[in-house]
Amino acid sequence: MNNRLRVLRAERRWSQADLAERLGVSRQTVNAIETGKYDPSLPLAFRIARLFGQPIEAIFALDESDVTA
Amino acid sequence: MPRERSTPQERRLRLKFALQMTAVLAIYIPVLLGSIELIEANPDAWWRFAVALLPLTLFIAGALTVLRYVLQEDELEQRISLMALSIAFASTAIFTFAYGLLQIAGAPDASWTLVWPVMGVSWLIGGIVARRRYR
Repeated sequence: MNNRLRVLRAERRWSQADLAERLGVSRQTVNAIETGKYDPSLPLAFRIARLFGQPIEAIFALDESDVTA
Repeated sequence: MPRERSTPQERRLRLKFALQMTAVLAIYIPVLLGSIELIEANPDAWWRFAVALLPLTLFIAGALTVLRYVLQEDELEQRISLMALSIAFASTAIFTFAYGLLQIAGAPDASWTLVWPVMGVSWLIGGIVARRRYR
């Protein structure tokens, strides 16, 4: 799954730790989501979407491999 | 670029865990040594089995501290913890089973208390392996 988390965070000049604190998760979790190593749960994806004021599909997008799997 | 630091709540959680585990260990070690001494001084006492199990109470307290810590982790950290415990479980099973087979071939008897250190070390290694995966 692809996501625009790093871009959205950079637009607000937040560090990973800033974002992690706002979301109530660890900095490693934010880093793992940004680098595509971890896909967040649906509740966390909703929290991220709400924090940035955007719909989930504007932040997260499925890869071709996710669709065919 | 400077390495990013963890969040204050992460640091608080880790500090709390470290303090609780230190407290448990600080009580566990004298209780363990005391119970061994007491049993050795009274090898035929009827209460020796109860005294032998005394350190177990602290061991359970340590296990509950770990469980509380894991329950307070976020979803990725819980996944990492699960992976670390899975690696520890599998490694311990393989090690103990292998040693059991070696005993058939004549390897010396080993104490059951050695199972825990094997589990602890493999848990530690499992944690490092699992954490690297999401770095």
